[in-house]
Amino acid sequence: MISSWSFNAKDMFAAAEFQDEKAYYKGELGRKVGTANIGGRARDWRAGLAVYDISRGEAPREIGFMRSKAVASTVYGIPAGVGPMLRP
Amino acid sequence: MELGLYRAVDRAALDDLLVDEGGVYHAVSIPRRKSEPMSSHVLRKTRESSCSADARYPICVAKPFFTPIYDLLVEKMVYGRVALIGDAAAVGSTSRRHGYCQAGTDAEVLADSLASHRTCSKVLLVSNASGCRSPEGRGPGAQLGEYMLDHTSPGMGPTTHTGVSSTAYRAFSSTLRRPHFFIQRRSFGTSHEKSGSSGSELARNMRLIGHCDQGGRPDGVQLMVHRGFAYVGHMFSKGFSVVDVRDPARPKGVQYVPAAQNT
Repeated sequence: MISSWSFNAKDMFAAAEFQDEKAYYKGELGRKVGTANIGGRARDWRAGLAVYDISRGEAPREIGFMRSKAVASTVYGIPAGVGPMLRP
Repeated sequence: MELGLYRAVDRAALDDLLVDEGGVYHAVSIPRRKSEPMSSHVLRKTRESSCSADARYPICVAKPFFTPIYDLLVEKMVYGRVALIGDAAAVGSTSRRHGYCQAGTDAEVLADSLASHRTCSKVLLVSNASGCRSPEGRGPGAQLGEYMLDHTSPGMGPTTHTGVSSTAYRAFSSTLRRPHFFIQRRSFGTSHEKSGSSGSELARNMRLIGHCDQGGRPDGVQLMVHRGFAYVGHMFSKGFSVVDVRDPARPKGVQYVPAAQNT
């Protein structure tokens, strides 16, 4: 099996909360996007690390997902990235 | 979306760039509200002094924000208990985000605390208590961000958190969705430029042999190629695409894997 990763994050570009840029600077970000007080409510986005089986390169298949409690997962500041992993 | 064009110029060239179309010199920067009517002016000046195809990028930006970034050369970086380290000297532009502004203001609070208290533990205790959270839940960084927005783009209407107006963002996003417009492609020259021609300096030692619209989703962030397939992450099209590049002359989009809703 050959694996690849993909980082998932809340789509901040399209988020209704930030259509006015000033909203981005007001209040605590966690409360605004719902990570600070999410309680039992379901998220309407997915944040974390998705792992794909790319043994068939043309048809990646998600085989695992590590959920993040944060808004986003990044690696060295690169959000929503993709890339190959070493053979597991 | 932030498109930044960074270029080192000498003082005389910088002074020239800081003069708007009306002949007014802006010592700090040219705000967006001033740059709209002078975008062609900036573009012309940029082209005249540019040494690469990067000069084309301002075409994409209706209202460029032009700001100089100065190198600060200091012989002394430590003043008593305060040291100037790395990005502490960076200039905060309007397109920087909450964390960036927060960091700048936190540094200011820390400096004040250092000046007022002698022990390290007291310094950290006070700066932590006063720097990051105000009673209203707003960090000082938020105030700085709001100030920068108000100062640079009054009357510009709503803007996205990336520093581009919502209208401009939507227009730009729409443009990105159009097949055959691909900013990476610009590095190889426009379609009417023959492969290997001198149309773009970035095309030196490069020859365009194939093109693919990535299945109609031409925006891309990170690109990885493995065993003949390119995996392209999308920021606007939400997800990633797989492009078959086993025949480089005929790259072909073969798969699109959408991200989850709102992701």
